Amino acid sequence: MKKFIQTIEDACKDVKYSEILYQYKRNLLDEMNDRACDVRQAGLRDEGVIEDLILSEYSDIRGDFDRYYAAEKRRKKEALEHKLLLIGTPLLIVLSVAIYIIQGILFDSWAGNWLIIVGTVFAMCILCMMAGVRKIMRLKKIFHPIARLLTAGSVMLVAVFIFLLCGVTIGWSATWPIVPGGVAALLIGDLIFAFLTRQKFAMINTFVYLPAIFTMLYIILAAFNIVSWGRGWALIFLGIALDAVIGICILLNNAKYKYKQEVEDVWKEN
Amino acid sequence: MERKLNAELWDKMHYLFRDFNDRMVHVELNYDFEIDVDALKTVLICFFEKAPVLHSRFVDNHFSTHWEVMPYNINDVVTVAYPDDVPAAVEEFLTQYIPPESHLQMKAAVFFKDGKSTICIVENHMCMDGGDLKYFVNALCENYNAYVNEHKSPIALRTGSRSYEEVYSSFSPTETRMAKNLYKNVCAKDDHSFPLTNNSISDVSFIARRKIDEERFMKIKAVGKKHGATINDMLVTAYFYSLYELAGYNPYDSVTISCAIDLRRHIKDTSEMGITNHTAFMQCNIPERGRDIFQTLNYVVRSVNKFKNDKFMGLYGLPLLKFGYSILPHTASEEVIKIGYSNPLLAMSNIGILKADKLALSGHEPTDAFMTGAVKYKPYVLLSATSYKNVVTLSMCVRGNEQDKKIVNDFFDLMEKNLDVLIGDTAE
Repeated sequence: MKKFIQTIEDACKDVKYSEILYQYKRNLLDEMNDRACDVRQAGLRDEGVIEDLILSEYSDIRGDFDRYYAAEKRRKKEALEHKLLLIGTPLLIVLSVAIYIIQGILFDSWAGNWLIIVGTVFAMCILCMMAGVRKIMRLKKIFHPIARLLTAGSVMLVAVFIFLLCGVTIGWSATWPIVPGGVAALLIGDLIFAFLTRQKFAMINTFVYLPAIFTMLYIILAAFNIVSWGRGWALIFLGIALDAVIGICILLNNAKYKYKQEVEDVWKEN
Repeated sequence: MERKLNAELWDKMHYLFRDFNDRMVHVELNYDFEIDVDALKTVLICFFEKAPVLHSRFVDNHFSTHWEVMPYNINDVVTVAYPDDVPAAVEEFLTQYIPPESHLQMKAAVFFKDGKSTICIVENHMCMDGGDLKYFVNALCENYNAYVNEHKSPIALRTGSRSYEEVYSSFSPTETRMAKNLYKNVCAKDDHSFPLTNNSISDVSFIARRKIDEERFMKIKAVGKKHGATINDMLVTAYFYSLYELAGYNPYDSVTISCAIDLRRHIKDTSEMGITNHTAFMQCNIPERGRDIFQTLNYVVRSVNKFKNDKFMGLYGLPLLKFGYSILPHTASEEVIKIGYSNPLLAMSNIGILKADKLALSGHEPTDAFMTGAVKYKPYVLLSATSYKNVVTLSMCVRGNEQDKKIVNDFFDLMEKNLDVLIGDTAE
């Protein structure tokens, strides 16, 4: 045990004392002692060998501490953020309701002011969802689809808010193209997320999403009379054509990495 | 706290082979002195701690697989006995089966008699292949010596990744991409089999061995050199030729023997790797028997050289297996892979040279050393070859009966006879 303490102290001697440092050293020593118990139970009796064996498993204590320190800092920061979110969310919602009432009374105008409350609720929801995304992204890839759903949900909430804002300010009849716009934004957002985080099947997502995005684009442009409803559908084919171009590019790129298989020759020959 | 290890691609593949063999790899080392069992136990505990997969149980929950590290005691790993009949004790120990669900994946035994010791080791192929077991045994002896002589802690065992992807680690990015695009099923599709009897529930595992003495070994080497063939090519040739005779194949039939290849040939530095499997098979195929054994040798050399010239030798099919295991739950993956995979009926594994100086304990070199592959279930067979002090040991592990034992021994007789014919060429 003395050797463990000495090794830990030596490795961390240039680090200024802090609660995190103490906690790290304490945990590490406990871990080493647990490991020593394990190998003693396995039948190892030579204490010198036990010490050397355990210490060989901790070859980079200093580097490990740096990682522990960074993780602890991040954990504390996130804990603070969570507390703020937990306390701040109901407070902000109450505040937004108060602003809504005060503004309504002061200016005697209630129509449309409810957007203050809706906007605040949406903003809080998006913040919570983003905090969830950050946490999920540190988990195994199998959980990443949940993060993708939360990201898509956030994009959708922004689109819904814009829709409501436009509906209140410029009238509801002209705002409906924001809905397909929101769908397109959701798909684009998901694609960006998939590529940035190197998700499996991101390319397959691209092939599926592109025609859908171009369909939404067609609806939006036609709604604003930029393209005609009659001919604008060609945009959908543009999406499919873009898919084909990307597919061909991938195939051409992959062909560069094709290796002539000698194995095949042996089989053919015989 | 529960400690889990990743089940690597080859771990899963060897698990899949449960229908074809018992997945045990065997080692036997004979010494002319009594070894220090306590020291051996100390070294083994350190190695088990360095390679926790050796004291883990394989968990297959149908959806996924992993290793779960388990507590153990070294007395469950090492058996010490003083038998009257050492060969029988060795045979009994070596032919045991360790289930993957067992808490230990390696077992060792030390048998003492008349001041001599025999060390036997049996391990699950899912943990490591013959190549790494050879390294493990060498490291065991080296660490034992350092501990006994200098009281140095026996902790010098390689640790690191067990992933199959290590085979790409020495490639350039372009080469890696090329190798990872080798989606090809390279399974043997040959119905020629070893003429063993039908399966029976009374079959038991046995290890049949035959030694080829130093004089003949040197001649094989010399004749091989003359024909541009390696010792492995010579052995495979005799294997082919003997099979045609033993099984009575049509001489014009094309026959394939799957030869194990060590994929570590693609890795420049293995010092950062954990003990694992890096073995694939190449299909050594001859179009016909040939008019004589020398023509068979020509066919073998031609077939093997084609593989040897291939930059990505042995790497075909790995991406396909990886893909197979990635997309579906484990049980479904196995079913899909079984559709495309056909286990070779005839296989050969040249484990290679066991070096006397590396296996020496306290200055005593082993009087004999031997390694062999898994016990195959009929009709599958694997011929293993190791050489120690220029003596080659051929072995075949089969689950069969006395008749099968006789057939395998007849096969070894034919092997010897045909090797003699090959050697006769030098005299001419």
